[in-house]
Amino acid sequence: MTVGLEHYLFLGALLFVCGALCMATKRNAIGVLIGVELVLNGASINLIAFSHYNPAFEIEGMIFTLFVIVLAAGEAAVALAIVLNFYNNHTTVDVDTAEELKG
Amino acid sequence: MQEILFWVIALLTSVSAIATVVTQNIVRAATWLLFALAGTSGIFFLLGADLVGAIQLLVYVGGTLVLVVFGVMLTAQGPFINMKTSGAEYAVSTIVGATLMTVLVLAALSLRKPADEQYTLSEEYRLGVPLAEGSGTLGDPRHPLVKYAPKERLIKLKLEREEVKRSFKEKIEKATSEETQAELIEERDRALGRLAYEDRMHTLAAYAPTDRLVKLTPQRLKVVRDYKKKIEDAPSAEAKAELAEERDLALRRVTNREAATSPYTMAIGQGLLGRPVGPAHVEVVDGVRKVTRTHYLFPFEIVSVHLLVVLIGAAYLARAKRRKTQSPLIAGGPEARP
Repeated sequence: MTVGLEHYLFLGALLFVCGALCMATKRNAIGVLIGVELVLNGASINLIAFSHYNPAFEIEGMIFTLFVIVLAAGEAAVALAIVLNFYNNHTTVDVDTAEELKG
Repeated sequence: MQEILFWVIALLTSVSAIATVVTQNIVRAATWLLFALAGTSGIFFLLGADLVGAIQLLVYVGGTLVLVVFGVMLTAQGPFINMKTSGAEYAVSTIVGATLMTVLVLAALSLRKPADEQYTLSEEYRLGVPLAEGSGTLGDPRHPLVKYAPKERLIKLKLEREEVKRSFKEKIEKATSEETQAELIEERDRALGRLAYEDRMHTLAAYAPTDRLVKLTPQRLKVVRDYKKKIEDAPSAEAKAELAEERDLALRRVTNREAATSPYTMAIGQGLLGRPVGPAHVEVVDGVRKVTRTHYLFPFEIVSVHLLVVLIGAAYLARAKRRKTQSPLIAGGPEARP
């Protein structure tokens, strides 16, 4: 069975759905963060797959993926800082009980 | 080879992603995420995006994930390691997830049809050889590369075309018999086709990624020429369609053979296993020609795997140590703290 564009898109879709479910079901704030990482990875796979199969978007796909990777790094750092601060103030990382950010 | 690698890596990635969602333990979720991210970078390597795959490993797996694991280790204490989600929540999110997945898969499946209609490339472009004038080249606005073409080239191409047409127009008008006229017209079409072919090759060479540049070898031309005659001589439309199909198959065989022997196109997935891939560079050192290859991928993988092992080891050690000397403050959960 030849591997085509669709197969990569399916994989990206699976990662995206897993990430969305992770964001929805995890009660741990870091679990939510992990879900965001999965969603971003699914999007990156889509971008790279399209850049591979459509030569007109070769550069765009790769550049956007680089942006996604770097933005994810920044987002993870900031979100973790918020989570740790929240943990220091409330001694919990449960997003269901998080109603106020200021302790 | 590339296909087997794809299935292996896709399986690893999707199993890790699903396990990340299913597991209740946050430390395990972070570890599964690690494998999912590494698998994604493997997919990038398979797709020929070496640089992006390398940066994915460096920044994502080496940097972002370390941050996440840090967060897990700093907060995963007592009740926060395993946080149960209620069954109803799971049921609802499964339905939502299945729906979302269906929508995305349907979108991916329907992708091909409209794209084909929109970008239906001419016979010439599809077959990779000139059959008619002007199509499938920069003269064709549907050409996917046309937006990258510099204006000067388009103008030059147009002038060259007009020049050929003008020179033949006089000859055709002066032609004595109908036979010579037809011959001249054929010759003109061939000249125009040659122009289009040269232009296409130039465009591909200049703008197409080197690894996907399908070589229009003499074999390919030969197949098309052979079948062109056969198709013209075919008695019925059905026979013609059959012959055209046969020709496409033969062309695909030629392409496959080319791809299998090409140093870059098919071999790219094998870079994962340490086979030297990449365009060969010819360098002249002291008057001696030397062929060098860029195969940094395998050492890079070894370093990355080493990094991963260290990461897993560090996470394990930190957890094991904490279990022994658990703070009495935290043992009773968050309520026990002042």
